[in-house]
Amino acid sequence: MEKIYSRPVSLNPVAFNYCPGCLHGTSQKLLCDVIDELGKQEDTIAVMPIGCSTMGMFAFDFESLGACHGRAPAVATGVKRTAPEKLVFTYQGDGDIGYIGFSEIMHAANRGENFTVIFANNGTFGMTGGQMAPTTLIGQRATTAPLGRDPSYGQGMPIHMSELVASLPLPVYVERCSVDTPAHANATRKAIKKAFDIQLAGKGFSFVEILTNCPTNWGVSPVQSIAWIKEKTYTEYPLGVYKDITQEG
Amino acid sequence: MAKVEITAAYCKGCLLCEALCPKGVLSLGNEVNALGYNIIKADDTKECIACQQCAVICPEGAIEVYK
Ligand SMILES: Cc1ncc(C[n+]2csc(CCOP(=O)(O)OP(=O)(O)O)c2C)c(N)n1
Ligand code: SF4
Ligand SMILES: [Mg+2]
Repeated sequence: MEKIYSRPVSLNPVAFNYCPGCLHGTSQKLLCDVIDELGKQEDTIAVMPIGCSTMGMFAFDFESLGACHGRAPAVATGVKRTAPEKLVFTYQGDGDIGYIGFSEIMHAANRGENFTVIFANNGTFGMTGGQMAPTTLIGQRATTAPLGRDPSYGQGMPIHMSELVASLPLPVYVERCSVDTPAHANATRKAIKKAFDIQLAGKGFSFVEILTNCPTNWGVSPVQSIAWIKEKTYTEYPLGVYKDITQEG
Repeated sequence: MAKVEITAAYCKGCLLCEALCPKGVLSLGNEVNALGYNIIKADDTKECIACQQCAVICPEGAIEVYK
């Protein structure tokens, strides 16, 4: 028998440091798949955020560095400008990108920096124990919104990062994907590949949002968290390509 | 002929794979790994069709597929 599905080689032979069923693992495994496919294991630099996903750097078998909370797009700007031949990406959570680092992401996108942002949207501050994130759904409970997020209570509306980034003139490619099903995971892999191809061709800024889960802080099992994404997350955050100027002549 | 191979050291028994397998090949076993998790086991009497659903979703890359 021939092996038809292999674990990526750019993933170290260790388990991720994530909770059981956490889709940060699936998303970062897909990233490694694409890096393998492009043969870029020796030429990749990941700029990691603060949050659960930081721990991806212990699993990646390629260069990575950690930025201060929210500052990954600013650090990646410096990395890519000094090493333009490298494949540079950030991988950021919603608290990191949508609250503390909102300025950094918007300005990197607005400058049209030539790197890729992967944004894992799980609607919560996973690492610090389930506080409300900018992407927390209306009615979703958080430790800082114990009755559920309520805009009439001063807790604001869910922020749509893909739509905001796509509204700027210079980003080249913006897509919202999901990893709740194998078909969606395969589509996410294609989106990451496309984003990296755009960067490697020197075309400019690419942004891939991935809808993920946090079974631990959502208070559900991993399998139930998949149903949650289908029932609740899609409604607020529709999947799709929000910008693609490689298609527009 | 097809089969899945599970690397015990990575599995956390999250059961995302069990929920996806159309042939009921995967279920939680009694083996506990070094991380302290009960891990998934493959039932050889069930017919794996190499659809790779389990492997693609596995957050740990713990499943590899042969055909
Ligand atoms: C300057 C600073 N402020 C606050 C924190 C505490 N902190 C650590 S992770 C985190 C939120 C992470 O949430 P998110 O970006 O959604 O990532 P997730 O853990 O959900 O993947 C916060 C507020 C910190 N480490 N540094
Ligand atoms: S706390 Fe949530 S986001 Fe963090 S590793 Fe656990 S499941 Fe994943
Ligand atoms: Mg989060």
